[in-house]
Amino acid sequence: MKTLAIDTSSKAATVAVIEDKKLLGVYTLNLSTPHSQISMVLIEELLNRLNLTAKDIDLFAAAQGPGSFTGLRVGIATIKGLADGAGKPSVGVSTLQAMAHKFSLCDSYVCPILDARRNQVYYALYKNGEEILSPDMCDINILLSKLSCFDKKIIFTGDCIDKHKALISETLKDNSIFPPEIYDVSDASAVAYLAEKLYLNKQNKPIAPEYLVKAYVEQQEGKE
Amino acid sequence: MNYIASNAEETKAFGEEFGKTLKNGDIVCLTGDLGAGKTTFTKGIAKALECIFEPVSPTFNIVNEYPGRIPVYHFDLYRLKTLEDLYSIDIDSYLFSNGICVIEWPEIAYPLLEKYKLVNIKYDGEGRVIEISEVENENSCN
Repeated sequence: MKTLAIDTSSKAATVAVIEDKKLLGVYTLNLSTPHSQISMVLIEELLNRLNLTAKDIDLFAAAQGPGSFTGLRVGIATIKGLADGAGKPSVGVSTLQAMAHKFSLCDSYVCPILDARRNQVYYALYKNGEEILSPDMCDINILLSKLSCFDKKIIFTGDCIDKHKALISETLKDNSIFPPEIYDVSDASAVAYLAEKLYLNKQNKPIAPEYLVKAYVEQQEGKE
Repeated sequence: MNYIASNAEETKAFGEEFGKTLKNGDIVCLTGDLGAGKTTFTKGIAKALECIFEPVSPTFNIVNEYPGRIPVYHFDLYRLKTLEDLYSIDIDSYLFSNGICVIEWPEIAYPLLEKYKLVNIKYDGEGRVIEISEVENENSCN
């Protein structure tokens, strides 16, 4: 079974193809080029290099958020279009769960954070791949006060570690762990792996973007 | 800062002078009645930033993107009514980009703006009075 996955929810554009849990290829560009200009090119290039066409793919997957509004729309529309064209199923995977996946064997908690701007972050908390706090959006200070009550070692990863690293380590001190920066970039192979697992366990749901912005907008409109 | 333009060429020329002072990430709000010359002023900004195309009215598209030495994003928010409408065009991806946002009918976006340059164009019977000020919005949600 071959799975094609894309993650356009953060700054990076990443595309991967796996076959029965083994990686065939992954292209990741950590640039600020808009996803709309780059993701189809990456898919085409990767499939060509693997001597595959969209018809050879059995399952299509997209990171469905939370994350960049335009990025998610581009990624999800692309995957749904390819899946419909090929007559194959499509699966949505949580962006944050995919980001935490590479640390699922670690004994610590994992907190992926993505930049939601205005000092806000999208976050969730996982341990060994299990969700402890479900994806949400809040001010980084509020998140840190929540996590400091927790008093556990936490691995931080995501596209805005640079921006918040000083504050996180000052607040959580020895409880904050920062892996090397190369792991802070999202990787579509994790999306593909999780998608395949969901599909084989019949836990897959239709792709539904999780923007998480609406709740925030309502909160802001209440403030005015 | 005040300036008086007696015709469209002068409005555009002043827009160009003003455009030369802009830096990556700057936000410019343009106010003034219909026909005051907001889009003409924007043409001058785009010229200063070496945009390849000359801006046209963004009223229909809501936002037009012009690649240049610094990219210019030209908005008309007249038809947007709520903050949710602003999020539906992913306005943050423009406001926090390295380009310059030029916003016509900007009032709805004020709660999202921490700092911006306000350009007000008034028609006084003979020419256009162009007023420029720097605004810091302490009540923004930034």
